[in-house]
Amino acid sequence: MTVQVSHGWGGTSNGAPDRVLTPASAKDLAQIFTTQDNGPFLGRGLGRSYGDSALNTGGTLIDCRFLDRFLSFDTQYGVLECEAGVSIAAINQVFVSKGWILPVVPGTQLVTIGGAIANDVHGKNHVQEGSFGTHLVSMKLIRSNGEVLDCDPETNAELFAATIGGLGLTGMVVSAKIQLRPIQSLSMSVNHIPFKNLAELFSLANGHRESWEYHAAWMDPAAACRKGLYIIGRHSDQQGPLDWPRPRALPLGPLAGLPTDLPGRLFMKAANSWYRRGIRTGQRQASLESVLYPLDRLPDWNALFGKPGFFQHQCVLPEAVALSAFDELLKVVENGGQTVSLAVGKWFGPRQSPGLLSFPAPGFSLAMDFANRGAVTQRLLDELDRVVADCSGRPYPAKDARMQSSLFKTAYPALQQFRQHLDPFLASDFWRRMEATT
Amino acid sequence: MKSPVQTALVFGATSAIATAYCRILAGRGAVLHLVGRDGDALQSLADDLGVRGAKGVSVAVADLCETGQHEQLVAQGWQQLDGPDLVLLAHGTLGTQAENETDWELQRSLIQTNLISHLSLLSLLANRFEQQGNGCLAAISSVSGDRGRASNYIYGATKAGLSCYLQGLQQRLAHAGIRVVDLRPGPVDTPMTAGLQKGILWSTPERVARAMDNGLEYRSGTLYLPFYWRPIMAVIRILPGSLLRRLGI
Repeated sequence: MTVQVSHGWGGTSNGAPDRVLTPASAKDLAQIFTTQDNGPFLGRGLGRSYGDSALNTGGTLIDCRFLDRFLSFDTQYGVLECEAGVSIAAINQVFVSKGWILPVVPGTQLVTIGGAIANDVHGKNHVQEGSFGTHLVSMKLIRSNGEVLDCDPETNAELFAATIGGLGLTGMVVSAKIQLRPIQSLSMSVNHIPFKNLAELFSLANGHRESWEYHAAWMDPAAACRKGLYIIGRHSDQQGPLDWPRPRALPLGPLAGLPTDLPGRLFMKAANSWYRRGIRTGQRQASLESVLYPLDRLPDWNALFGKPGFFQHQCVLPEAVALSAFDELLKVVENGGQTVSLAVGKWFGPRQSPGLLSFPAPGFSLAMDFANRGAVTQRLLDELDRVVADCSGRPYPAKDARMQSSLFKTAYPALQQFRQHLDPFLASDFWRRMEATT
Repeated sequence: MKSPVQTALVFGATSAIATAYCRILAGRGAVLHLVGRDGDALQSLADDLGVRGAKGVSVAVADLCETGQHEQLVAQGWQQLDGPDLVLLAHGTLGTQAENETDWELQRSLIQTNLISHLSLLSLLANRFEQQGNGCLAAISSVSGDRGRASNYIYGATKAGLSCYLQGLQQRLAHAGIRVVDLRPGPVDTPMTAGLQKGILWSTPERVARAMDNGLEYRSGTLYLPFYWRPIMAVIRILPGSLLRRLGI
């Protein structure tokens, strides 16, 4: 697995950095900032941001994968301190067997803690647990002037808030303390419930909101995304085995050079028909990794889309208008001239993250993947953004490769405050695109 | 028979491959003694291994190019671990072939780090192990020592020398019940190789460490990491020179 530093995960954003630096320790990282030549700088983890938020065309990328040490672990309270390049996979490998997991994880383990903070990632349990930043105890941040700052909700509180969801632009996270949560076993109860229309999906979600921790929806592209499965899960409270499975990776990376996205489209078709017919509905037991990390069965799946790549559109729709806005979005897709290759929904609850630019807000979050059909896709995505803007929804920068900066600016009113905490020598392609004066 | 490594003495422990391997051992509750040049990096690795479950981790800071210290370092490691199950030599540098070609001093320092310091340690360790009568002695060589190639023959030469020495030790120590393992990784994505273009045959430190772990438990001899380098290098070794030149590999 080699990291492609000039593409976003979706393969549609490109831009080669002038240099890539690979610090092997926090000291190496500090060394980089003894001179600010060769800036602007940007930290990069495992490259799972879909668009251009981890690209720095013409600047210096700092590859953080080897800043990967655990620093301390409080076995009584479950507080882990680790460097920013530690991946969720590494945490699982060590701490699951000790009975601890991260309280909030995205759909893949292949993200670093630095990336999880920079994008304030969320999981399927946002309604109960909030986003990643909610569980962040403190962090050490290095600014490009060499200053190392301890940040937590009391000390340097504003910088702490700006850094959570701050897209890596306020400084580089050196290390962080995270509150883990205890688990009794790797076993989870899951339930797949079919729904026949959006109203039914939302009433299912309302009915299970309190009693189940994890909530997601798979929408069937063959039914215009109006039918599908409502998926809920919770951790088992019975004692059980805690053996974390060894990672198995099918290397698909080389496919990224294919001139066609046909394998990707076929794969998504197969995945959707598996969801449509292959999944047993009703309640059953399943293992934690299959429920929380569905994407990791095929870690390089993005390569299936070859050179053309794909886009993901993820937004959150405010609670009060979620159902009607969801319906609007699907209408746009129906008239958009192109089918969705994958559509997934999640619910966000009221737990507020400290992050100034944190993406989650109470409501419904819809993520749709589209193969890259050039202008047709661009037009469709712009139309979707219009619906998001009209209902005061929010786009997700970690997934974005092409939105208009006006949407970003209206959706994130804290931007003005955020700018005060920007590090002058850090920048990303995403940020330049958003801040470009038109 | 499989004999799990309970205690390990690791030179160059902060190198990416050694770090990944130490983490596997730590996860099983091993006791480790780490030697390296950068005290801060060693200490943070020691903390990391402690969090992962190592029963004990001690460190010694030393520049391994200074062979005069080797006797004392080996003695210290031996005492700390009460005679280790495994000693791993993992320190080394790569340099840049183009720069090395035009600067003999750079070549000399590469030879000092990758070859002379290894041989000095190996000669001391061989005697220690011979006395002890059990254990495993391993060093990280490289596939690049299998055949001289224009792209990296200086680095390759140091590794060829190291591999040859290890082969000799394998024979010598076999009678004493000591396993000697010549570890030959292919290119691995680490900070040491940050400047190089990566291809599909590249591996990760974690993958190499898992393969090492399987091999170091019971094997003796040459271990290609990952396994696919054995057939690849078998072919590259027998390719006619003229063809190798034309292929430019």
